[in-house]
Amino acid sequence: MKRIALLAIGLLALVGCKPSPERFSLTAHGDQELAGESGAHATSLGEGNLVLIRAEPLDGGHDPMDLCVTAVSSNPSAVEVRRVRGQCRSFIVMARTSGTATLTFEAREHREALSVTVPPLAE
Amino acid sequence: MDFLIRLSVFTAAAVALGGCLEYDGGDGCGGGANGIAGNLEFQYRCTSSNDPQCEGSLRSASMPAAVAQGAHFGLSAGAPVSAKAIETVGTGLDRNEFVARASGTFGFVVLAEPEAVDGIRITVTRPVSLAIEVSRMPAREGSLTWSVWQGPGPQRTSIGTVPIRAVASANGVRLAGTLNDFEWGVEPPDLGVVHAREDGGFELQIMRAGSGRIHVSRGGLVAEASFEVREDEVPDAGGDADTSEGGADAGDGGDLDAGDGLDAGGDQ
Repeated sequence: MKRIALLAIGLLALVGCKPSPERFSLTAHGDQELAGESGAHATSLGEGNLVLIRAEPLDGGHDPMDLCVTAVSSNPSAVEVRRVRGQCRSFIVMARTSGTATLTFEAREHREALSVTVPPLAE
Repeated sequence: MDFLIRLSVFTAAAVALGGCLEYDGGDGCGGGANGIAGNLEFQYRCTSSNDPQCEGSLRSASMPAAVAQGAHFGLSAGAPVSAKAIETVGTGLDRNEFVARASGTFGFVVLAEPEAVDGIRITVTRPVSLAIEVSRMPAREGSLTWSVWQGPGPQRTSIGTVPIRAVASANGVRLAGTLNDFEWGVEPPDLGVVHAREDGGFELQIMRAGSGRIHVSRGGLVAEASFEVREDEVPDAGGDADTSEGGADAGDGGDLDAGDGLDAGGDQ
């Protein structure tokens, strides 16, 4: 019984020590660019358009980590982000109205931002 | 064994409920799924027979390359499709029916609160030209010669009607969607008249034999075509017209003899 308890404590300690991601690999469905001029993640999405973004947590060796990701938008009136059902690293981002929003992806205390600019619709 | 049976029942139920088994990083449903997340197969729906994306009586088709600005169209994916992302430019008329009010690329999603199941993008383009199509014949630039036939005898005096439609295009691409506000005309006017059908399409009702022109306009765009109604051509030989079966053929006589009459080469 004592051994089992020690094993459980050891496992919990290991899980607790699992490192945070070093960075996210952000990729978009199709040819959507996600890189800004300054190197930060940035993209432009036409009003009414949508894009599928995959956020892959990477460790220090740039290898994928088995972690789920959450995403929120700083300006929900301009951009709406929803997790894809059954997946925890893929998100559909919808441009609702013109403006700028910052999407924040987070996994185990590591956060990364994606700036999304929605230009006004040209009639 | 009992476990295996239960597992297979569970798997079958999961497939039936979800349409497929999903897993992160996978291809979703795989074959047939055209949504950006690979989970759903979106289908385009025509709201009338004037939509060139659907042929004949078919009301669903593959996803078009582009939809005409101002056109009505529908989408289905086995679930309500939301145009939530384009509230400013699209209005749902009915469940899964939309109006392409602006040009650009627009997204449509299927939601399962609080998540998204899948989405798809559709390009909307402003039409730059119109063409007149007859039945399933392809659109032609400029003049177009048709030949419809009118058989002899009392059973064949009525030519009947010819399904026609106006097709918008841009950059050589036929634009999908049902456009309204067409203005049709026939010259000379006593040769025929264009009617709007209940299904949203159009038909040319032939009044007599002769040669004439039909034209259609919408939003500054115009298309014209010439046509000819011949009185002495009967496609099926024999004395059908003199028999009781000839009456049945009279109904066929209302159709367009599309294959023979298209002057494809000279019109290009």
